[in-house]
Amino acid sequence: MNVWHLILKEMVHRWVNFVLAGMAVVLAVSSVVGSTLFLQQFNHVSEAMIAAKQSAVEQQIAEMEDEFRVITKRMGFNILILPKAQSLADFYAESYADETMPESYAPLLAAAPDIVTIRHLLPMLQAKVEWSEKKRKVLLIGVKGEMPWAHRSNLKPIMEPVESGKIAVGYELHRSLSLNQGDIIQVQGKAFEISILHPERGTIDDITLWTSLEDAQQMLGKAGLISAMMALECECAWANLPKVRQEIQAILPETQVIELSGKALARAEARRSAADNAQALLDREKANRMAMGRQRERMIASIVPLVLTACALVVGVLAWVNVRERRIEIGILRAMGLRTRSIAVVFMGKAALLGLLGGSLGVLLGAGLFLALGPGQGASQRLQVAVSLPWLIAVLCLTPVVTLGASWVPILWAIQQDPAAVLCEE
Amino acid sequence: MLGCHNISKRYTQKGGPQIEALREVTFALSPGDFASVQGPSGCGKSTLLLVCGGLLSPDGGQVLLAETDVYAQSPNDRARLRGRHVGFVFQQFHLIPYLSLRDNILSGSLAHERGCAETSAETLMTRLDLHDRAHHLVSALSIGERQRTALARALVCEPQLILADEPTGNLDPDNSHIVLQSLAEYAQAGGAVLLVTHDPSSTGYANRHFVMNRGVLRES
Repeated sequence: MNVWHLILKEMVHRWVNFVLAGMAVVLAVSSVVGSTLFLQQFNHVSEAMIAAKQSAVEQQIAEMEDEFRVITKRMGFNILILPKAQSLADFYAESYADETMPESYAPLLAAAPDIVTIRHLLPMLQAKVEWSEKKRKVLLIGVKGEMPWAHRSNLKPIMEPVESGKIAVGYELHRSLSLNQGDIIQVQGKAFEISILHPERGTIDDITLWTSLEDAQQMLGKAGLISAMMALECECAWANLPKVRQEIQAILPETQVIELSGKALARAEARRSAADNAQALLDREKANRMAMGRQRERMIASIVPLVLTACALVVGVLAWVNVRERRIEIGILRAMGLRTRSIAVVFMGKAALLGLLGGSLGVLLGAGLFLALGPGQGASQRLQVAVSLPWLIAVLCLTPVVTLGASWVPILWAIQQDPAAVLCEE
Repeated sequence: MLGCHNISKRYTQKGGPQIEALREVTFALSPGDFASVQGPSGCGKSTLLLVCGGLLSPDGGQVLLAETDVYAQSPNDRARLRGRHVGFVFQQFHLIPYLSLRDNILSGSLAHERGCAETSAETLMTRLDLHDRAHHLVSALSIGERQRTALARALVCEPQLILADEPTGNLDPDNSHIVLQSLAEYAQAGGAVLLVTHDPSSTGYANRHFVMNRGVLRES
């Protein structure tokens, strides 16, 4: 016979009291365990969802940048470097530059180590001329091909050079004159073989003839001169016209820079804006999920203590009822020589056992509810991660502490009973 | 074994007169003494028993149990002293309802550091004719069996002193005889018994007789 024998026999005898107290503990523990698991699952799902969306947005942004690069490239050069003397009014009116600058500007710019805002540098000589053989006004452009950059890797050229003795013909010209590739035509008294027939562009390109720079310089009598250099602005977000101007004019002060292809820039802006919007939406979604998580945490933080307090009260009241019911037993045990510590052990042992059993069942019930009602996908893995051994030990150690705390006042009352008074009453 | 020297005890009731339950009570019990205390209800008999058993502090005087001043001890030391030397038998039995008869007898050994009870419990159950009901709960026992069980619980660790408060008050003559005879045998074996009773026939088993009236104890 020992105290534990006494505790177990009493628990079995007054099982209703024990079961009711046990149910309160199970409810409290399962609500704590369940809410913790649900909250963890919510956070986990949120993180996964945000990560997936983040990845999608990043991919979308990358696709947009790539698309922009392709579109810009397709639309051609968007930076034009003109001689400083060139009247922009004339340029915009005539769509070509009639002033010239030294051809040596192009290699000078390409050799500059500090140029980062432009790519694909293409020097050219332009002139509007009367094509005497065909009685047509055409734009003659001599191109040399893209200048190789001295200090960075060279990209695939946007425009291939035109070989000497060959000519590329704009759409309106070859359509109206029924020209074919390989035909030999005379331009200003010089024979050229048609190497390219350009498709319709709906611009002045449709009435343009492209030859090599040397051929054009020779035909126009402007040896060693060019009238413009075309370039492609880089896609960097920070690259804008003032920066491009600042860079170029630091090297070629006798030039001026204008920006073409506003449509491409507008598209780029639109895409950047779409990317920003996507990121803003993602940030908002993130904030919403976090706010929802915090709201749930707040709700759990207010409900769980209420449940715990209510359950602790139930355990305390039931312990009180039990102690009151056992006053004579306490008296007789004291009369038989049991010390207050031993009397306390009788009741504390029961409270601890109640906590241990209720805690174990509560963990099982909480986990079971989580598996049954929680989001099915990944719930069991989540459970395995959440219900670790230290976590289990913590719950199973804390629950008896809580039940002991809840039973503390009745236990104090029990050990302070005067056996003489109790035994005399009866 | 037990010595009471000038012990007095007063109860003060709110708004009522002070009741002197014990007045300068002095007596001593030695091994082999079976003392009966008789007197009318409310004369202080039960108070005397509780004071002797270290359960109720007197207002004055000294109680010596096994040559130890009982009330000079701390409550826990007093409990240990009680557990080692004293057995109680009450009129209402005060058995533990959720334990079997056997476990109730063994519960008398709960305060003892070393197990003293298993064999002794078997012997007592045989001697008090309780063996057949060993595994029955208290609620299944007759009144006589309950009191015999309470007696066995008091005797199981062979204390030096048994304090019995009206142990035959609820019993028929046969059961009364069994209980009193057992107490007498215990005294003959070297124990000391202080029996508080209304029952005149009880005195036949005792070898010392006391009468108590209004808190005053006299040996007759």
